[in-house]
Amino acid sequence: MNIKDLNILKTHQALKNKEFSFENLVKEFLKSIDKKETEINAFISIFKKQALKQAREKDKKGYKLKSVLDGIPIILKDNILVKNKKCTAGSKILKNYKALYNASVVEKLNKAGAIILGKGNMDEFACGASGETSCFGPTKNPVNTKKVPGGSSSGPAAALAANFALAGLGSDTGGSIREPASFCGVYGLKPSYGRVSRYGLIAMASSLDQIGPMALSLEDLAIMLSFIQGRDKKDLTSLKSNKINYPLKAKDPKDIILGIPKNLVESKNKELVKLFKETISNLQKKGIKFLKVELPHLKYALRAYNIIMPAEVSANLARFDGIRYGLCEKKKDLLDIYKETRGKGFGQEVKARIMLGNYVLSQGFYNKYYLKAQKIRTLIKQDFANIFKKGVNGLFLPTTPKIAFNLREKIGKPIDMYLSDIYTVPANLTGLPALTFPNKNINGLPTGIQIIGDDFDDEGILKTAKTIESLI
Amino acid sequence: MISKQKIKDIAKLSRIKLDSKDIGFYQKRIEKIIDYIEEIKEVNTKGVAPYKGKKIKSNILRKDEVKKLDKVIRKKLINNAPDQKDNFLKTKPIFKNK
Repeated sequence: MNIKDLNILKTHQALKNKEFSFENLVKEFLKSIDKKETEINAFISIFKKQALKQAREKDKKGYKLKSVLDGIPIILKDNILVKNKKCTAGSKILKNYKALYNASVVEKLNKAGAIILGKGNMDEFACGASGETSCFGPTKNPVNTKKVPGGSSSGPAAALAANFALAGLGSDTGGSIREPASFCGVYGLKPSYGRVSRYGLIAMASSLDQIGPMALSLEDLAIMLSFIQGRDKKDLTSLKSNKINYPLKAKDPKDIILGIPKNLVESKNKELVKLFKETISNLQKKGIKFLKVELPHLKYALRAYNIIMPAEVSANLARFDGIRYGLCEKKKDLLDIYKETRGKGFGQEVKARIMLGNYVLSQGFYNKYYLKAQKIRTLIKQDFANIFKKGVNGLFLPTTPKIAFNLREKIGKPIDMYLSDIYTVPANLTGLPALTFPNKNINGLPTGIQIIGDDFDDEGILKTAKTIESLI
Repeated sequence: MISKQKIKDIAKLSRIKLDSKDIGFYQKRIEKIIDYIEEIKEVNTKGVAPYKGKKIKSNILRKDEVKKLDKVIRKKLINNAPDQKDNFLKTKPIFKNK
């Protein structure tokens, strides 16, 4: 078995045909982890014994596969709770915190028979675009270890690129699944808001957060989504979802119309711009129609995001007070416990966002910043509704304006770092589904194509992507 | 311009202790972002309602009743707290005796 050639569907077939046992499969991945993990740092915790035990039990029962995910080794971002396991969100404040229950998505994956190999490294509380703000140290990009893997779901993305697992779950608040997937040359989907329950996800910005799959093919994204989606009575914002059919049926290129935003802020990376233009003209030749569309408020998306996101971060992270769980700095006075615990427990980036959030929510600034940003959000949503009314199947964009940059290159340059999210935040602000899949490399580094779809048309954008992938 | 005092005030509001040597760093940092987001003022939002999110079709309700918690879970829950006494979480008083 060569694990580099595997994905979920192929592994499922091989297990069915008894080409290898569950135990052999898990052992191969653990071997790969043993070899390269010290360098990559994709995991915060690894469940080696438990994974092997689960695999052996499956072997004992014989090869009766209960689902296509049965026996599939996966990695979860370390902000998704697994019962009795540490869950840190990459933060010192939760360094020793053990979860008491499973996230709903974990219950679903367990039921399907998936084997959780461990918890993935991440930017602290999902605040970061490079995988460098974790208190467990930075993750490195397996494609080139001098480069960042992207963030905040840095661990799962790097793990997939390094052949440490076959699939993963991340969370995406402003691009945290799509950006690292693009930097590491793998696949990622931010589902429509409400499609996947977030019960058991450590919240960052609740009106933007969405759990989603990361994988090694579009088919695998569809498979993962089909298992984790659906209404959950433990998450009021979750919604009933239509079935995802896989294998995905590719569309006739002539039936695809993609929108390109007219006033898009162009990337400063000339090679990336050139590649993107070439991709479009290549796809046009093969029958796909491209339509220049007007989204007049799109250029304010990143600004509105950088008001709404920190505001929600400041509220969500208020729960870390040193009283009920996590780190506690013992002081005589209650206020001092709060201040010392949070001062020591949170990293620089998280502190800056909490403070910015409290600033934009404070008296005198609420209307000027927060309320204004929420109104702009309505306008952006309307812009998108208008283009989908014109029959566009999706918005066609690069995933990021950058390719993987050097480790430490953007530290101390917050605006430059935040600009990494410029093409990804619109989908979070509007609750629309968006995915990334690999385009050609530039200087040996991966680039990504992003498609943003209409609300709950997650399967539609997967099919469109499948068609495009077969043409490029 | 955001004054150093303003940074101290937000830090207190945020319940975060900052070392005095770090105040300048956060001042510059927050100023940069505020400068960046300032541009939203040019957007005409007259008569536009703030974003409300997707419609939730039905509420999810449960009975308001006391449920017995599994002893093991209860123990673990309490053990997660940094300070405990007699099966309760322990914390400092909110009001001071004068």
